[in-house]
Amino acid sequence: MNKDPHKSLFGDSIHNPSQLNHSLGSDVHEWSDETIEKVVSIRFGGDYNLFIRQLSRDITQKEQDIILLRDFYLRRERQFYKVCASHANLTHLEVDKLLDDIQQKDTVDDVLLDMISVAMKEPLAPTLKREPPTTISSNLAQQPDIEAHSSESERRGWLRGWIQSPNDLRYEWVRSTSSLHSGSRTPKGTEDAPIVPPLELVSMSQPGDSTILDPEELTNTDPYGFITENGSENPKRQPGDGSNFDARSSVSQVVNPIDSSYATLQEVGRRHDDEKQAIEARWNTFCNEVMKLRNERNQEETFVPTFGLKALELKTLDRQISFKEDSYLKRLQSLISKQGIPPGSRSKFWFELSGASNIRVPGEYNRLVELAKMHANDPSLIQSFNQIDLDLHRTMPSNVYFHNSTTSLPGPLHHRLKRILDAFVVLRSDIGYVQGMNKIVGNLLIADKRVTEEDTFWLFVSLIDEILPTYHGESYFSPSSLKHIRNAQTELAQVQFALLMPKLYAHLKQLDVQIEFITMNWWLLVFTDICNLMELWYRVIDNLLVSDKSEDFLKALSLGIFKHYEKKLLSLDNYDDVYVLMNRNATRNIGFRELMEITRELERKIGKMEKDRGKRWE
Amino acid sequence: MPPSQRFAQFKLVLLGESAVGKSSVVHRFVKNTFDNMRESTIGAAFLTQSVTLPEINATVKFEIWDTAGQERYKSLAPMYYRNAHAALCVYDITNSSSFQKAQNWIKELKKQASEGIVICLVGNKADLEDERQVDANAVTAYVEELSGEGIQVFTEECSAKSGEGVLEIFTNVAKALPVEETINGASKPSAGRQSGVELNRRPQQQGCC
Repeated sequence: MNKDPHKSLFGDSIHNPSQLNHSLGSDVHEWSDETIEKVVSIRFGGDYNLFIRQLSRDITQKEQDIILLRDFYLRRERQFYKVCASHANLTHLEVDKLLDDIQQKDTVDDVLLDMISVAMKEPLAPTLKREPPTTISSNLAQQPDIEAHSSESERRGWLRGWIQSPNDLRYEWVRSTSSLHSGSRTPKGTEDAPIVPPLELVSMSQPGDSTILDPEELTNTDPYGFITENGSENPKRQPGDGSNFDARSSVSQVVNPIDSSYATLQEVGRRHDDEKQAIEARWNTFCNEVMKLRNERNQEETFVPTFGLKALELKTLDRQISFKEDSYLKRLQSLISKQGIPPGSRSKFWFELSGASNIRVPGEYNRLVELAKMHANDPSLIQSFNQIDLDLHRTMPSNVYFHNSTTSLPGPLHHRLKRILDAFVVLRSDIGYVQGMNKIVGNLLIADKRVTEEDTFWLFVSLIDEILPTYHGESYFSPSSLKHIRNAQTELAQVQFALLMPKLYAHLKQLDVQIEFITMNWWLLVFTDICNLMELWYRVIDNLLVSDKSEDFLKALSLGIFKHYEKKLLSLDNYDDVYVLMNRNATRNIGFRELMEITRELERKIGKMEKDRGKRWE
Repeated sequence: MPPSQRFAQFKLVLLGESAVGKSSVVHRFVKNTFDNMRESTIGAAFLTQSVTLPEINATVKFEIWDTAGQERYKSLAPMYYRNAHAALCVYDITNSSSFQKAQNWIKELKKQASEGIVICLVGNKADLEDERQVDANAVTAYVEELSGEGIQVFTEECSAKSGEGVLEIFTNVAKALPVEETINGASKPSAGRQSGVELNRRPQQQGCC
């Protein structure tokens, strides 16, 4: 059967390449019989031989990895002895003696626990276990031979080679804990390094470049993982037409150079690139200025390690600046409404602007996930957990990250979504799970897959606690807020709509359309449904994060969508068509910038109306 | 008179516990499709579909409000069932608690909704006979009990998945609605569509049953 046994190291030529290319993972022994049968029938066409071959292949792969690792560390060790001999004048035997304490651990659990405890004491990392035994350093200090390299920094220089920096330790911790908690379904270290403050727009990489899925699964999807085969059915599958970030991709799709419009398109593409660069430059200038100001301040005052709740402390910074026109918050709002946050930096900005970086307690998320597992049958939580389970497979079924349509198995983000929602229920049992949260977290998860599960959780918490409107101190999704949200719809429909768009209002009233029926859905889903082009929803969140008053922004956005369809709506002569038009697909052909500019204008007007009304009451 | 001109429009609302298949029933009726992985409804979805009643040579157009099932959104339901002419209270035959919820909805509708609302108690997922938890006899007993209280509810089982029984539900609801009265009562039945709008605009004036 095996025609060329020498082809690969273990002679394991692939029996059926199309089916034998996915690792089964390391927990097959824990699967139920049912799961095994399901996997065999779905992935291997019911052929147990293929299943066994895949298992064997997985083992072989691991053995290969071990051989490579062993070789690597062996070479490192040899080099280490050499360095010790040349720099510290230690013989092979002496080094061995010094390292005698290091023993092989008995179980993998010990290793993982150790890593975690190291990470918990993280700020002190260099003085922890990874530091070489003190005898070495004292030896070093006494060695005349190293006088030539005696400066402190140089010594650190060569030590650095094997003392891990705090960041390295933390990175390792994130990876090891994530593999503990992510059910080891996600291949490789997909959880990334910790978020650093958004100082530079260095990485402009698009979301979707992560290793969370095998690339072949992504060939038929857009960058967010929505299947693109039958393009027109689902508007999510179409690239955003109005976005300047998408313009280039449409240019590159033009393949016919004879077409006279090709040159024009190229020109458009060039201009777009220039514009993009200009915007990037403006962002960079802005960020640098803010950071400079903050650094100056931090030298005067006690150092505040957080970058700032809501708008990078800009509200506070603005207070110190006399000329209002150039206010930092205004500048940021203008940057965001014109172009949105550059996608490559979006997650970092979100994390800062939402206040997530302030409320995040390291390690707390994993504790909450564990608590959720322990209290799975708690009577006060079980309703929420059950509803989450009902909704999980109904969240973005057309997205490969949530649902693998070839294998009919849940995608990798499915499990993350569950853990985040479960953890939220434990954290805020007063709110529990509310339908719609699944869509919000789902959208956040696919926004940037480099962001860790933990950070997505805190971003979600801060969206709810800090950003979305609150009613009498209760957060947006609290049970008591529902009636206030409903009242807000009535007010929006009867007052702001009537005053700001009287003509359209009169028309819709004449058709007997109940505007609040339409906007209620939008609000309950925080616009995930109506703004169902990912890039548009992200722009909405960008703007929401820097809005002066989030309720005004949501009202303005609602009116903005109606405004966008004013002409079309005025031509309709019965309310059925209005409901159908404004249901779900309304933003299919919307221009992002246009909508955001209308919204910002309306937001200003609504803000002014509210202020005037406040005055009248006084 | 051609059938398209004898036209009446009615508002129908779907109520029931989460994941019993309300949206699936609607989509089977409206688009004749079934999707295993339908996204959950939040707030309420709006769809329209017509059925023809050849016996009386009329077309009935339903404007359908498909509501969210989660308990949390229960307080929004009156928004949607206000002025409704018909309601489907849907339960899942494999889930006895969903049957209890459907009964609660019937109780609430009788108290709060417009008088004469046509109510159909719908048992969905009839294709999952092996997992049945709600006994057909229990349903009959419940409907008879309601009847004793003077409340008329009719009941049907269906499977949105196979499509069986779905169209029958809507046809039977249409037959129970005051179609003739609406057509004759509408001021000028010349333009069918407008008579529907008229109907909705002043639903209180439509004498039902």
